Amino acid sequence: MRRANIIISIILLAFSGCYGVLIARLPSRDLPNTLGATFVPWVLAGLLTLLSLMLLIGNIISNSPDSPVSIPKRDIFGIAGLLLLITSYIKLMGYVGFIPISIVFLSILTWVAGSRKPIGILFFSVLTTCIVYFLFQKFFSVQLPAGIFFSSG
Amino acid sequence: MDMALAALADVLQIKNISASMVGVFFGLFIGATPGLTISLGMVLLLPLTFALSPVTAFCLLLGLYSSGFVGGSISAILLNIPGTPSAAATAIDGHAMAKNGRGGEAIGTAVTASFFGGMFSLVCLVLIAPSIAKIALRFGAPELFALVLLGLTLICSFGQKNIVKGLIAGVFGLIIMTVGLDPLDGTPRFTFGSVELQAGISFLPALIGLFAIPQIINGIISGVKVIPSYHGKVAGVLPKIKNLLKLIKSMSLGALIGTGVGAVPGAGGPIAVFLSYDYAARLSKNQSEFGKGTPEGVAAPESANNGVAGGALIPMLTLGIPGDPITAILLGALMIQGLTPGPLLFENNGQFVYSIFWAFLVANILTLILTFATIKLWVRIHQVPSRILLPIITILCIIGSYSLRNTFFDTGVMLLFGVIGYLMNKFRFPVVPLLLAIILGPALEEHLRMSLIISQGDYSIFFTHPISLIFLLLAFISFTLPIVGPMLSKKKAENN
Repeated sequence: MRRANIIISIILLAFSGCYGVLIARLPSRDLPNTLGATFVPWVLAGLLTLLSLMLLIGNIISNSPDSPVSIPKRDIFGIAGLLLLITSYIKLMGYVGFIPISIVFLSILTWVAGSRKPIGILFFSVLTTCIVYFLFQKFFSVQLPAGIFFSSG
Repeated sequence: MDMALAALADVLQIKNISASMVGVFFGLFIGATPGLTISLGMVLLLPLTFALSPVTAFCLLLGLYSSGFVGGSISAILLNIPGTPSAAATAIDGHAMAKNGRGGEAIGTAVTASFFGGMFSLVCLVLIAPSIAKIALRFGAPELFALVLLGLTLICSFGQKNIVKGLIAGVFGLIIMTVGLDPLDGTPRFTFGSVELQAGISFLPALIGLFAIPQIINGIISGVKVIPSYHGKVAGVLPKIKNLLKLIKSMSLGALIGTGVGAVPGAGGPIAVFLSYDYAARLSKNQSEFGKGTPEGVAAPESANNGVAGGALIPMLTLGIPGDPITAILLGALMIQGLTPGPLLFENNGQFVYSIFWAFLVANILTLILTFATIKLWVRIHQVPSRILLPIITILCIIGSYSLRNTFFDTGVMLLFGVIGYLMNKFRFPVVPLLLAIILGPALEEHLRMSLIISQGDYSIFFTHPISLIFLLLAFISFTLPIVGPMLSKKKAENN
């Protein structure tokens, strides 16, 4: 954990620096007796720098044995895959429409989660999609994307 | 009095009772299913409250709040897996009772003690909250700034294993809240030309991402077995009056500690339940039975568990400072409904405040009745496979964050916060300070800058107002004590 903390504190220091550059670029409006829009961000940038330095120095001088923390490669690929699946679902929903894309999305996700019965997966995906559609679109009046195939316009 | 009666009539409407029942059922399900938390349940229900009236929304959410703890104790007793972190103490004696064939009695004790704790905390809430709100009404901008700062420092430092990491999480949350138009002069900050970012980062997608996505990732990808199963039988759940009378002392102790600890922002349920378990054991005549399966060991933490619920509502409603992550989400629900949490809520929406009191009462009664009536269902609920639950949670999260403004921008924000939450969990950064900073950040900046406008830029305004000074001193102590305290104890031990 010590090594991870040192790396994280360096990343946070770099983030504070970038944040500082962005604050310096903000437009300033000097209103009388008022703190500008940059005041609070500057305070926060200073605090984050200070705390990151505390984390960095604390872990460098620490004598406690290191307990390594790592994310296995398999998990990194898995997380990336899951995020890609969700992002594709979100991106495609506008074109394909909520109902068809949700059935496909849920089928893939249920398979990824460990289910291996095609009929069961399809039944579950269709049923869940219909319930969610009814709940949000009809009951809570949330306009879910109809997609280019189903839109009346 | 008229207001209280009007609020009661409102809460007793069919739609509101139904909302309470749905909330209670959902809470029992969430609590009884190991791996699903009450916070997750809350964020899943939150998007559904957009279309509901404030009273109906709170009947739904408070139903979940009060029953979630009870559901959590069922899996703690039967499987030795606490459904919620607060049910950990219940598992010690509850599971020992279950192994001795007294699982039904343990569940009955837990449900009754939870009801007792909930009722006790409700009485405290009704008696104390209006008085605190009356005092808080006199607060000006400097006092409110100092109060919000105190709330934040308490959450960032109290109960955190690494205070620096807690503070980093809090500051990071405040940085996120600087995105958008400046609250006073309208200057766009860190918007990068995006129209969506001008309104800032909405806390709802951030909430969903922080609480739900890490659980989905762990459940689906990392292959964590979220849901185990229980195949035993549970009988004799309804407790006998004479047995309950023997538990009055443990239940009272738990309720008192739970309500008191719950009212302190940042202290949280797990502290309250272990504290009450410890005190109940010390004060019991059957001290040697603790840990081996005594009903007293179930009654005290369970009473404390639901005592925390009412206790945490006190600072949330009166000062706008949430006591734990769940009340932070409730605070968000108030804001979604266009209501301002804090003393003004009592002044401007008195009837709604009474409705919250009644809704909490109804939720506790329904939890008691429905848990006993449907106990067989909750005993078997562990058998719902995660391959079914996790895809449902995923789609509810996506559509829930989309429904905020009917835009996929918010869904993207949810995903981003999901990754942040996952990494924070992995590298042991607490997510609660980040969440609270997101919710309280705008108020902190607004009160700070308003104070300085009033004082014409003179910072001494925070020290010349006595209440503000006290809050600032407490804030200072709250984050220096966890650092200095262990150092002093170490030095003392070395000297001895």
